[in-house]
Amino acid sequence: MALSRRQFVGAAAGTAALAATGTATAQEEPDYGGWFDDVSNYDGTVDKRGQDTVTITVGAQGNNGAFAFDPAAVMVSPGTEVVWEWTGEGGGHNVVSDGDGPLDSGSAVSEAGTTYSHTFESEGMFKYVCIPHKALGMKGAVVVRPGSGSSGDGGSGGQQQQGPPENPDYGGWFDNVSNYDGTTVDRTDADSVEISVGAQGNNGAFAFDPPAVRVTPGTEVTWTWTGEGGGHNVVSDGDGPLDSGGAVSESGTTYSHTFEEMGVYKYACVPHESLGMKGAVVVGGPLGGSGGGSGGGSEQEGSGIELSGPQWLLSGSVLLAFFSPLLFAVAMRRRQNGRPPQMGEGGELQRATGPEPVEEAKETEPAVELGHDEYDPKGTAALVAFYFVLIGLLWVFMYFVEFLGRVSIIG
Amino acid sequence: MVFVDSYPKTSKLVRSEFLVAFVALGIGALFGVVQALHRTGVFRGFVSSADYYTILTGHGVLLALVFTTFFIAGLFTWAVANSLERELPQRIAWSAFWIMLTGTVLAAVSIIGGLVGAPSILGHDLKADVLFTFYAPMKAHPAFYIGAALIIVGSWVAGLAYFKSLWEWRSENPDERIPLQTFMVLTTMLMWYVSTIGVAVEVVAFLIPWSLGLIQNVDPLLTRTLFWYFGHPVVYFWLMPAYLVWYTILPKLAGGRLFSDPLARVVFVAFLLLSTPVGFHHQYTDPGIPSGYKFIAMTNTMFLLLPSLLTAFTVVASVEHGARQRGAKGYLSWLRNLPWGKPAFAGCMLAGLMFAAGGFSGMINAGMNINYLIHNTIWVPGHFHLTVGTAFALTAMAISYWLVPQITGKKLRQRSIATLQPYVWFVGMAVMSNAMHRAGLAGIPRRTAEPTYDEFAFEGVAGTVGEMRIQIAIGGFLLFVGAAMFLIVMADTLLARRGGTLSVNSNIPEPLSGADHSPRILDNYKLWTAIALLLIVIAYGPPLASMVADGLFAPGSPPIPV
Ligand code: HEM
Ligand SMILES: [Cu+2]
Repeated sequence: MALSRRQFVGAAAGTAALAATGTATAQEEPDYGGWFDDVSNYDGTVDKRGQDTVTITVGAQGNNGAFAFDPAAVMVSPGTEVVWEWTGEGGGHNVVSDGDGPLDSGSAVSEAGTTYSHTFESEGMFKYVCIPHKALGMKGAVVVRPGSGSSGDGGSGGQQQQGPPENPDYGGWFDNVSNYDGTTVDRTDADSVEISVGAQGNNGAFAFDPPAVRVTPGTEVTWTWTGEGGGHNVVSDGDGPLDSGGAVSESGTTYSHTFEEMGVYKYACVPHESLGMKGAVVVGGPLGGSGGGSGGGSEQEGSGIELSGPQWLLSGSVLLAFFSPLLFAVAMRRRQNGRPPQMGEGGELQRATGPEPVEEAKETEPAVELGHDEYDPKGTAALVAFYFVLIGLLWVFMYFVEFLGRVSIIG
Repeated sequence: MVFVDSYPKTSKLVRSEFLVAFVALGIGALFGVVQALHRTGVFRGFVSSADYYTILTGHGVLLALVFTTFFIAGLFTWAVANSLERELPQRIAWSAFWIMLTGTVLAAVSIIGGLVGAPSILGHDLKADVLFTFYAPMKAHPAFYIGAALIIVGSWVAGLAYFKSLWEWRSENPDERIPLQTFMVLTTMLMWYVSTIGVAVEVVAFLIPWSLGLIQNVDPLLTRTLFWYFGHPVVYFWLMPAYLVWYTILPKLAGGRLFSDPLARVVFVAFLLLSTPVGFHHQYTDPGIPSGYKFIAMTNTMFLLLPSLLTAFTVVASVEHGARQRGAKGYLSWLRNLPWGKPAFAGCMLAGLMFAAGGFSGMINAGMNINYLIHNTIWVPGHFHLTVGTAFALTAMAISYWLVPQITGKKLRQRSIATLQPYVWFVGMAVMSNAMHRAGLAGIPRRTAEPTYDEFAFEGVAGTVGEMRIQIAIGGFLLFVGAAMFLIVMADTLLARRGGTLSVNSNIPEPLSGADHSPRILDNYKLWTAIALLLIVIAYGPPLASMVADGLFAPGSPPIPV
């Protein structure tokens, strides 16, 4: 439930791309010197650079219980505030640097919702533990390293595992774009996506429509020229993968590119950039939950189940219904055992275990006996005839319903 | 003597089968109201939209496959024992029950797995968000397909128990006509054997190996075709038990006698012949099937209307006979002289009335051209909630009020709730289904968690879309209440102590015109089965051959995980 299924479908459709990007941080994976050897939920370093605050869960599932930090290893930019948040599970936990370091949340607490935060100014690697559960593998690390995060152009840099967040930070890119209304159109359900070039906007036919669109990795995006607003082209901002060449105005021209790597790809029409003819394609994300972006990420997914009140109600009822035959059997048993001996009709005491006599209701005798030859089903004939007429009329009506109150197909 | 005392072993089997059916009904109805509220936007807090398919799969499988199959097994078991006057062969009948139950648990667990994060079991994600039609290339956990296969195999074994009873009875009664109820059961089972071959081949030869990773690709068109080879007859597998009730029990509840035994036999034989070679009418929009074969399917479908129209006539005439025997006069005023306060009678009648309405939308569905208007819109669920969702389901609930006391020896409890229940279901379904039909005409799709789209607004031909949504939600809620009322009555009855005088009577009077007047050839199962197979070969042989000719797994498609 943590992972949006549509997102998951799309992600898995581009499995190849994901397999590549999922380990893209490998070349810069820090050396922890065996620190994570006994940490069951460690699965590479999660790159969260470029974010102002980063949250780590304390008491997440892992290490055979709620004895984990999630994510166990995280990479942040200098100046980032890291917030540890207690789930309330797994007993009392704390956050204390390994050796002498800056982190110390004090003695262990178990209250859900407890937080502890620290802002990392200088670069480096900061390992920490939960003292009571260190031996179980409740260990973590924060790596502070400069570099771009989610706002990285052309898919370089961070957020590789999760993709850009729900509301990507375009860094003012859309400030003068009149047809951008703040929403990124979600097309993560589609294998191919079309963007029109020369759509209405920016005081003329100087817009991309939709200006901002989110797709899954592996999606082919096609730009189609409307033929309005003069010559346009599609070129990445900075150095990116998009370049449709010189400006053309011919209607029906298309240019397409398949996006394999997650990231935010900004682009513009060079001749009309100053008018606001700009756009962006967001590839991947937002994948909620515990960073399950990998192809078969269901194991991690399982640990992130959270149910709301109504969902509890639903699951509870289903479970109850599932086991109701058992409850039923128990109830029956108890009734049977509690049955008192009964007096039979003749006054003799019946054995408590013997079946009690049952009889059926008396057959109701017909007021008039109507045999085969006296009976003529004239009412039935009338009803059936009426049904035929009705069904025929409805059928005729159906053939014309398309034409009622709307434009006809031929007109 | 009450059935439970005459046939205690068979009664226990029927009780077990009904119990499973009722549990499936309860969970399915719960999922139904969740869907109705979710897709209309009234309340979306139960599940996230991404899990809508999981709920929808649970609803379809638990109601259309599990509830139906188990209830039918119970009803048929009762009907055979009752009309042949003997206990069923216990070993065979009970193994059938256990096989079906194992299959049900496997399928249900894999569906529920999708709601709890699809844990990896035996190397595959435990989920089955593939809907009750389980079309490839959507893929489920192998346990789901194995479960489905076991349910079908179990039903085959159950059929064997009915046939074995017939053979025993025949050796003692060499010259008698097969009793009507047994005749109906066996004709239905023959149709079931012929038609389940398709889905069995689909599941065992393609889907199970594919989900286990033994084969990489399946041909979606071929597997769909095999599914629909079974997918239309299955609706008659649901319907014919309802017909059995309407023909053999309902006239008695009305106070009359069945109008004609031979007509009833003709109707069932017609279903055996025509149910299967029509499956392409579910695939009018599928590419890769020559339209000539779709046309043959359409023609057969229109012929298939005939037995249902005959049924309408015979059943209504039998009920009218009941009213006349109660002293009714007048052209139509006899309708008032019927026991509308008896839940068994009222439920069956309301179910039949809804089925007549469903007949209309079914005709629209069956027309090759007009089908395009409503294909894959919510019109289609609107239609089959009238047929399987009411004609079958409400008949099943109604006849339980009459049957359960007989198989338990316990008086029906909560009589006032029971009396009201069929009406609640009827009103709920009228509201929900009517709105679904109109919403479908407006183009609103089925199987969709949030049927709203940017820059596009649906427009109703009659009424507004907002009003339809509210009606679907209200109707769905009433239906849920109706199901709950039924389950309360059943639970209270099953938990009650046996004994005393029941409110029901099991005697079924002789038909007005009996079996002696009908030609003996009607009971010739070999002949009818042979003709049925011949018709199937004509309708399905060439198109299936051409699908297989380009390679069994081609054009192949890799799985789409959902
Ligand atoms: C409590 C009563 C019920 C309610 C509220 C209900 C509601 C619904 C709704 C709203 C849908 C459409 C979902 C969609 O297409 O998005 C649906 C689908 C369906 N219903 Fe029901 N229903 C009920 C009872 C039944 C019964 C008794 C049956 C059959 C015995 C049944 C069989 C089905 C089937 C087969 C589907 C199609 C599933 C699919 O598209 O894969 N329902 N139901
Ligand atoms: Cu059909």
